[in-house]
Amino acid sequence: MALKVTVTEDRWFSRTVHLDGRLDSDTAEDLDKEVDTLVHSAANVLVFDLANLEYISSAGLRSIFRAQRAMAARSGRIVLVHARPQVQKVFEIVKAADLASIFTSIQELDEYLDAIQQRIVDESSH
Amino acid sequence: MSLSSGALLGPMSSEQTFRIHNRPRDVTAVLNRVEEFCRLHGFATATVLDVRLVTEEVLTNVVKYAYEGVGDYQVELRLSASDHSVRMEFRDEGAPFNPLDFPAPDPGNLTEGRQPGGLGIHLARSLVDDSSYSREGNVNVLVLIKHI
Repeated sequence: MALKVTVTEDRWFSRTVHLDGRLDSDTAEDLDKEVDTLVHSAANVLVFDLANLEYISSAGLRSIFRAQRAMAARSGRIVLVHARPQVQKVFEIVKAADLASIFTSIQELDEYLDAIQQRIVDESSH
Repeated sequence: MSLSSGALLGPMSSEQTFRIHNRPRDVTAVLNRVEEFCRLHGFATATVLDVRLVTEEVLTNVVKYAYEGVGDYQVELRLSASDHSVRMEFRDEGAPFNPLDFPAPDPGNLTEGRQPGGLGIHLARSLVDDSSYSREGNVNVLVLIKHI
């Protein structure tokens, strides 16, 4: 089944990658290509919105981990939000649930991004 | 009433065999048919997706490791379902290869890209209740059973 990837910019330093459909051995490459583009943008944080992701396999996990490594190499990070039970289950099985700072609510995410934004402001004023 | 393989099957056993070649497109095609088979049996969505996931992980592993360097070959999946379980039997004529021998991946290694096949098989094993491997002549036989 197909995967639709939509990217939105919510803050100047973050991009939200909305995944619609399934992330598996068929579609993981599509996400890799999109991430390669985003890693070279101004984004310091990549948010993966998994609200409409109904299925993920190990190929999909590797794609997410690849994004995490790419962002980390540029001192950035990824965040996962709104994982459905089926997807959450897979992350938990591979014990990766804590690796990417999974937040479930937009409020938690906003607080987290607020903190990053504040830190960036603090650092640039020195 | 005619009972073709496409009809909605009620509380009874049912089996189907799929044979695929070592092409990614073939793997996807059989995954779709496996999913359809499960839906026709009225399994819950979580179970349907779990069975698809197990099948995807095993097939992509067999395709990658059992037949490295060889050309065209076939993998067979014998799928059977009852009210209480789904049985998946994978058969291939590749080099002796037992996916169950893969150690469980170390969570600390996950983000460093050093886990080739272990991740997928670990997922598959975690989603089924019984697993066994045997070699019948020159055939690898992997049986996975999920209780519902």
